[in-house]
Amino acid sequence: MVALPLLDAVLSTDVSPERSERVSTELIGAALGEIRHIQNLDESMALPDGDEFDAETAHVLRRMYADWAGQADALLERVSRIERGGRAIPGADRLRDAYGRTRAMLAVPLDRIQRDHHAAQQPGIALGEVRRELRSGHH
Amino acid sequence: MSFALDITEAGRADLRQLDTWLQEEILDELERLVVKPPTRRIAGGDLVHDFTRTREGRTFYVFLRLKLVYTAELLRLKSIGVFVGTR
Repeated sequence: MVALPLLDAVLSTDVSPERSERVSTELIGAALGEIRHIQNLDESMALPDGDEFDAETAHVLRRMYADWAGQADALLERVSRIERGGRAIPGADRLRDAYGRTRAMLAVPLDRIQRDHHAAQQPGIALGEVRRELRSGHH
Repeated sequence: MSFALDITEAGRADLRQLDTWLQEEILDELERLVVKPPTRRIAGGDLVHDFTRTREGRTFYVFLRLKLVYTAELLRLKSIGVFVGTR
């Protein structure tokens, strides 16, 4: 999303709503392509059996997701401004979904993920037991 | 093939922090994964699955990390990430 300043320039001077819409649509397409690219890279780095935790790779990928989310947030803020002016921007909801999914992924910190990797070697609590516990309010 | 499913202590703690309705939605989703486990695997080896639920005008994005224990035919929930957005 290197072209975000272009949208700012268009928004600051634009007398043509169509031009803002076209630039936004182009940037949304680029953002959606970029997150798909990051996800593909993430999946391509997966180990078949998942026995090893590669902290360096996980850190780099997380940074890529976080950078993307920051840029998507900035783009969505501008897109929402255009939408409030009464124009629908194609792909905006898809970008909001991709952004929300990425933020949900990032909600669990990396050090926790690393701890989980080791803790998950031990048996857990059966799903049915957890459901009963939560329903009975035994927290 | 249907898998058994268990939840780590940390995963259970994640659940406890959520509203009851969302806890139930996640547990229901996990029961679906028992029958059809996720296939998406990311760096670090986790299987991941995400889904959304909408309530009172807000969209809840849920991201699950799981471990597949082939030898025990078991899925193990490791963590739950949640983000709340609006559309």
